[in-house]
Amino acid sequence: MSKYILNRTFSMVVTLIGVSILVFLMMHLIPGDPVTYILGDFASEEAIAEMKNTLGLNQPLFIQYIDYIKNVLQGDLGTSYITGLTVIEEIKARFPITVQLAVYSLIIGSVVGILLGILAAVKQNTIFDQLAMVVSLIGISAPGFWIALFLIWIFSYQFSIFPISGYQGFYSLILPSITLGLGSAGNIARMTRSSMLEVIKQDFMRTAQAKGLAMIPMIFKHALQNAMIPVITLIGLQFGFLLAGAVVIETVFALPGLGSFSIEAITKRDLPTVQGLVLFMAFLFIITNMLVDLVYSLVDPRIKY
Amino acid sequence: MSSSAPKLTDSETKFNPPQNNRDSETKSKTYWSLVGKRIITNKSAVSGACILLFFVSISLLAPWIAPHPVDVMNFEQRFLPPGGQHFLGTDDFGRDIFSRILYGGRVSLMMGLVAVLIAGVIGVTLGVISGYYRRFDIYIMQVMDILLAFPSLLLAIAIIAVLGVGLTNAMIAVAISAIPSYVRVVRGSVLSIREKEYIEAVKALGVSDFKIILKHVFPNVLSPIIVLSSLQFGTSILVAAALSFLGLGAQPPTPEWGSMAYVGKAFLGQAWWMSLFPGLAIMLVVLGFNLLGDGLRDALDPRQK
Amino acid sequence: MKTRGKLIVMLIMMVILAGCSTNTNEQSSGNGVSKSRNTLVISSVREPDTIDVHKTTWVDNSTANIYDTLLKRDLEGNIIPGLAEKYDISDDGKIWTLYLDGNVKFHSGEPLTAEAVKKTFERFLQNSAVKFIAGPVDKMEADGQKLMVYFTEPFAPFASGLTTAYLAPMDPKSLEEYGDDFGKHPAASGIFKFGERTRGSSITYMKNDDYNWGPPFVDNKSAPGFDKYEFRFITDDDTRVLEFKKGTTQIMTSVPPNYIKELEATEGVKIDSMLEQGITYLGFNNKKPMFQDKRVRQAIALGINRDPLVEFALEGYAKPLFGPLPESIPGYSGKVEEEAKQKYTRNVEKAKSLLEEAGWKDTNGDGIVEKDGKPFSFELWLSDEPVMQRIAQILQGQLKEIGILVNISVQEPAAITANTPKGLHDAILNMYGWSDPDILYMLFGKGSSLRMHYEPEELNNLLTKARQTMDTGERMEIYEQAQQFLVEESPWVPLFVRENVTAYRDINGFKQNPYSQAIIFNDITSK
Repeated sequence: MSKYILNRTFSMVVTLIGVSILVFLMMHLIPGDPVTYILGDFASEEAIAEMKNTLGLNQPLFIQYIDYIKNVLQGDLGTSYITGLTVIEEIKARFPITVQLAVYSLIIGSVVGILLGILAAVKQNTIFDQLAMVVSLIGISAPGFWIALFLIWIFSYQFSIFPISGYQGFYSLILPSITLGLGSAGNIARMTRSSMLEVIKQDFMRTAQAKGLAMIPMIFKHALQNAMIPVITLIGLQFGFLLAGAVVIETVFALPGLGSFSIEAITKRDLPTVQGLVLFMAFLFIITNMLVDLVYSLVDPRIKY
Repeated sequence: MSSSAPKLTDSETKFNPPQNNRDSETKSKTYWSLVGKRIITNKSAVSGACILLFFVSISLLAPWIAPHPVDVMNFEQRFLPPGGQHFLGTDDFGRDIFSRILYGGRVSLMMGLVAVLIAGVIGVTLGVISGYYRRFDIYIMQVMDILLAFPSLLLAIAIIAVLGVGLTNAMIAVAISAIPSYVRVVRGSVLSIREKEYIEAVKALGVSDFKIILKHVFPNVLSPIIVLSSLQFGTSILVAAALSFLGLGAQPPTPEWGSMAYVGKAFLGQAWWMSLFPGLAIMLVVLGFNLLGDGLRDALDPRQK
Repeated sequence: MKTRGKLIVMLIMMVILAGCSTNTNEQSSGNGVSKSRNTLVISSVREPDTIDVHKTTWVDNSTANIYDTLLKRDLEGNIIPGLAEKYDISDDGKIWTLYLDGNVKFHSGEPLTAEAVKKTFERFLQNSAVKFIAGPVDKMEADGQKLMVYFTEPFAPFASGLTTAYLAPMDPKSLEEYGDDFGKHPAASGIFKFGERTRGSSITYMKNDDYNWGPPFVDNKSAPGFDKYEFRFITDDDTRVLEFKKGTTQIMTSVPPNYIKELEATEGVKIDSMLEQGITYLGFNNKKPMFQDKRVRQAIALGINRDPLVEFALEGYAKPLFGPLPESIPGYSGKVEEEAKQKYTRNVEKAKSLLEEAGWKDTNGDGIVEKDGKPFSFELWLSDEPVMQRIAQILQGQLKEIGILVNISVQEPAAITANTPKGLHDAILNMYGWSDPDILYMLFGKGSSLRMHYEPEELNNLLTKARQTMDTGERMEIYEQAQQFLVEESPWVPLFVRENVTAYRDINGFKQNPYSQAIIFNDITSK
């Protein structure tokens, strides 16, 4: 087990280095360097040269990268060109919103998804099953921005219940959470259903049935408990995904989270911010995946590493 | 239980392809005719195929069935609600939304197709290499891990920032982010085949690796590729639409569904039809691909009922 | 059961993550708290990068009012005294002498002296990316309240520069104490004193109680009517409007056009609009062979109808413009505008015949003109701003009618800035903004025509002469000639000047100065 963790950690470090090289190269291939963007059109040659010097952009690419990594290892992700704050401070300010969004949407997604999945499994091959599955397929198939626009249209324009966009506390997160939650609900419902069906087919359920136990409590007592393992794992993976994946929804609702900020940073050629954000998000993604795998292996005795 | 190692989306579910292909032509023929029968009787596959057939044909027939010209502006008819002459209403330039959705189907479907083709060719090649020649495996998979750890939409956005905004570049960006799924699926299948005795036997006969891959390995990974492609087609359309919705895909006045929704967002309060109908079209097409993919998997994977 | 324990671990992990989010949440949601009556809240779109004007190229209402300028523009656009009671220019135009007001005090209580202004200028020349505003300064001499600025060449736009905050004197005490960190502790001699700044959300100022040197065009010459002035930055249009409607902000700048009608109808809300100091234009890359022929450029200008642009792309909140300068920039000439209007009011027939004269003719009947078998098509670059995309599509339709195919190419702003100086574009849909006609030099002067790549000798001579002519009347005459030259040669097509719309409520005395594009806070009082 500990060897496995060691291996995973090593591969995580390699992956993160790869991600950092990739993002570093891409940001330097992008047309338009940050200096002209910071200084504007009419900047003098000297001002540009000096700014390049201050930002260390006139060094060879390799040296720039090594310097960057050195700083990262000391816990310094650099300073944003746009806001003048350190990238760490920027992440601190925006990460809470992204995390809240991920947590709320997972709560919505799990509740809706698990209920739909149970319904479909218990009433397998009935109209309920089919309906539940079509609904979850729609959840998976609908573009997030479309669900978002639809919800905004109904709840903000028609009934003025929720703010159209922007962030003013919990209230502003309800519609975005529903939007993201519906997408997750589709995946979770499908997983719950297939997992439940497999458990129901297993012997001990038949035995339980043969013992004459009533169906409903049985579902909750035995089937659900055993079927939930893969579902919980899926939820964990979704969490990692949501932490890095809410770019569009954050943009539609104008939420100041990590996703919308990273788009802004790319557009404004804010190299340190883009690099820092991508590295941070990749780290989150990998670490959640790793934790999920670990928990999974602890939970399922059949898996050995 | 063994098959439901949980993964994010269906497209990453493991496939266990039929390994019947020793080298007899007839066996393979009966296999495919059996599959054909299963597909035709599979409700999910048939309904998916019907939806897709509908959208493909209206897109192809757009020049003949579109009631209004697609690009001609008519300022007297701005923001007309659905009904009357304009079945789905008009946009901010008085152009007919229905006609634009018909034409837009060509763009959106083409984007999905090209992305799947590019990702498929590259992904399958890498997957086969990775699975067959184990010495490359670790490197290829490490690169895939890096691509996966990079927040997917951000990767696409960064690629577009490097290449420039536009339809072609959006397709490339979508394709690149779809490659890892192919590599994973194909590699997994190739790995399981490689260990078969008959491959060892053919190898011992001195048959070249290229021939073995072409005649014995590839046919066996075909079914998972087909299933994955169907699902990935839908996913690619979603990602492409998301990019267009962020203003990074199709250029005006090209009627692409995602960019129509993007333009419509600014007028959501006064003309909801501008963004909600194109989004609905995306949802239906993606739903079609997901249904088809689900159905194909059931039909091609004999373990499942 | 074993599994249950692990599930709980998983849940705890999630709760912890959720928990750490709620802690930090409180900082970022400081908006929406009710403010005392003595705070005026102004909402604005763009958050300035810094309040230190030597380190930015962006100055607006939210940063400019901490500074007071050496010269000012009155409400008619004339240059009038500010902190400098008067100024002389030597006969050769190379020495400017500024006489500073002896009553003015900086926020720290230090008096305004020539030495302090000199220090500020030196810092500006050393740090600013826009130091060309000051022109070719050679050296400076300070003597009590008298500051002499020596130029290597005469530079008339210096007066305009002195009306901007970029060249406003900074508090020497704060400069000395904080140096490079001046932006975090800014101080000068403006009507506002710096209070605090919350990154990502707001900047708050206090009124400057010592202030008693208000300009002639305001009624209240002393400290303004509110105790505190808070600028809130809300990027999102809908949110900004919502906040304003709720009454949490009293002034909203940059009202999105699609909300103006609704706000006009709202009880107690007033709308004020002024023309921007800048225009939107279609610029050709004049290096490209297809735009070498003047007749082609004129034909394109003749193919454009500006009315639908204004009406349908900007919902009517702009003014069509034919000449190079809008009314809001000194140097605007009604005569030039009228001539340009006569010359370029849309005329499809004339455009087509000009194209034919230039050798472009539709020979294969596809509606697009050809020359040597090649159809006339060009790529039009524009930013991803939705309004620009709408304008481009309308232009595309209009130019198709004269037989020219326009391909719209949306580019990221950073890519435009980087690639247009290299001449990679065919044409560009763009905006310029500046408060002095010297902008024409920046657009068409030798070595600085980064967008149009159009620098003919004759025009360059005129524009250079204008920036060296000290007499305002004479200078403006030269600009008139330069503008006539531009109208005739048509290296670009000016399209319109946008209106900057501001909404306000619950206050009296709201006024804006169109020539400094600034809200005049001196006379604003609570209702």
